[in-house]
Amino acid sequence: MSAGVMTAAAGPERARALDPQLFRIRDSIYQTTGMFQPDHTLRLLEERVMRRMQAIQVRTLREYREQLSGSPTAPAEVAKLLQEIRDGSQGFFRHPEQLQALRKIVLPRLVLDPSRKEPRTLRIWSAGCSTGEDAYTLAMVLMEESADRLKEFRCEVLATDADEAVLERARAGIYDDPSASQLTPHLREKYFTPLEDRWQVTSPVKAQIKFSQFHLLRDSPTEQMKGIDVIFCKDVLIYLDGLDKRRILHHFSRSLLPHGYIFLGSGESLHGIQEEFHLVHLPSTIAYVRPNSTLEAGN
Amino acid sequence: MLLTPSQTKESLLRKLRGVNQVPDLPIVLAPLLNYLQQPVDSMQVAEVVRLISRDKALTAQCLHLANSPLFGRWQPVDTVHGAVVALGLRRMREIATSCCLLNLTPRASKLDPVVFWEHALGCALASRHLARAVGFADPEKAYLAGLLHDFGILMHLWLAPREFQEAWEKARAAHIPLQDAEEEVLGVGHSETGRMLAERWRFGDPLVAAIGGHHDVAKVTAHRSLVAIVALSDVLCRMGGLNHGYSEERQVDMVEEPAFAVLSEEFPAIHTLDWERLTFELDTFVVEVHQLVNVVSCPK
Ligand SMILES: C[S@@+](CC[C@H](N)C(=O)[O-])C[C@H]1O[C@@H](n2cnc3c(N)ncnc32)[C@H](O)[C@@H]1O
Ligand SMILES: [Fe+2]
Ligand SMILES: [Fe+2]
Repeated sequence: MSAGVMTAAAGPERARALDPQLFRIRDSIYQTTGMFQPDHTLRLLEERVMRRMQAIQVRTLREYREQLSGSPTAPAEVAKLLQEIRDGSQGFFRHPEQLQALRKIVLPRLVLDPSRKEPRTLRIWSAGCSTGEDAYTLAMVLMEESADRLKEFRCEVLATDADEAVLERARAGIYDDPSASQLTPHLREKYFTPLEDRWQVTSPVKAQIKFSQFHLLRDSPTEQMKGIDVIFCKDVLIYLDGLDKRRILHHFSRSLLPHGYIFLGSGESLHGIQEEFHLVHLPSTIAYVRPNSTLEAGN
Repeated sequence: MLLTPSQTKESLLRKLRGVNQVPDLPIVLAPLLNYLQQPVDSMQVAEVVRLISRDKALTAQCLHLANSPLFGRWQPVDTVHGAVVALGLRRMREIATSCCLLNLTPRASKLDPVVFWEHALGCALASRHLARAVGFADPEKAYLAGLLHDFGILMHLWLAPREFQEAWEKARAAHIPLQDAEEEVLGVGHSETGRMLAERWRFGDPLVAAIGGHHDVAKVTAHRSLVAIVALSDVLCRMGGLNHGYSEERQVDMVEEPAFAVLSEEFPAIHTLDWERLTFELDTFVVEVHQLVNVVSCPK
């Protein structure tokens, strides 16, 4: 950035003030979904809201805000807006801060957990895995760690979704160029093989993952879903109301080991939803654990 | 060669005590900083404007801050007077003090000192935010205390740049708090050096308490809530993108921080505070602070 040319004072975006309604729309989304969009992302939110406004023929931001709460069609509209917001957010190695915290802090603590039943097995669950990018990413992270911190551990990734169609694609593990996301070319060479003009995840990676269909609200947890160390549940709870969120967290609570962690999508919050899990701060990211579950991991 | 920690500490403290070796306040800043110390009610708009406008670079910096959404301004202002009128004296004091602090930051060669100013500004903004959220009566004071809390780092940069750099590198390599590494390498942490200088420069009791006590809140006896606000904001910044240029590899539960207990004695609202939201809002500060630093700190 050429400092000084486009100053904070004179930049064209500054000239047009943000419509105060956008802050209200942001707050309303936060209230209903638990997903927060900080001020610097509100221009982007504005574009997405505009697209929705065109689609449903609403003229003003205020009218649109009213569509987001109170009316019987509100939940559907919130879901549509969320889709706009989340559009194209799938990919490998998303949220590097989470993965970094997993490697640097969470795994070193967990391997010391005295309460695990199978002493040398580490289990991560991607709940609501969709087409599998996150699950494969986690498998690759664990494989990268297996030479080092997880040397004597067997690692499993459990990946579930309610939707059989997306699971089918996840199992196939075939993607358009995955390094279009945050995957480095090095890891792509290591964990993918070219398949015509696409890329397929290698079998050793696949062997780490168990995909299965599972509806987080309707199905009862199987034996596989017990004794879990870390749950990744990204961009799933935001589509549900408070009651359903609580029910799912209750299930998670029974699946997680006493010292287990829950990671949500970026900007997702459980504030005011439940009491059992505590927010913890990790470097540049957050997660949830049970209180007083602080394992000393030699730091 | 480098001195031992106890030698370093001795020589640091000697320099601090010696009148001549403490860096002189730049000639423009001294009267301004002094003037800004008094209660807002007795300040004169014209005098603040005059003191800032004497220095062109300082004026430009203040205007950049005044135009940032971080200070609540969304329509451009282009004179110091206009800024004071639009934002009020309290805001202008925050802005002017922030710019003074930036100009007091020495330009070391290897270490980029700007990260310390970014951290200071981030902690100031977070402190103001947290103060409001829990119902603390004077958010502007929280801002100033947050801004100046790591004043001792500045002193280390001036008085023992080589040893301080060693401490910083050690902290970065081990991903530990800077204060701990300073104690090991310099024999003294920035909260102690900061307190000494803040007393000498007559910063006033609340600021002295925050500067000296933010790493050991449990021991603080006066202005405890203010110190606790600063301490929690400091941890939030260090765990987020407004750290000291490296990340501390720790897991922090805010509720278990000693400062949390202190603050909850007087402000029970902290029990229902939305930490998630505060944390996400800090992301905006990171973006805005980096942008500000880009335009404000290029060498004159
Ligand atoms: C937006 S996608 C998020 C996918 C992935 N976690 C990510 O972050 O990219 C939401 C996924 O959650 C699944 N889902 C929604 N509600 C569910 C439920 N009650 N039980 C299981 N899966 C659910 C959907 O099928 C969809 O694949
Ligand atoms: Fe500090
Ligand atoms: Fe600090």
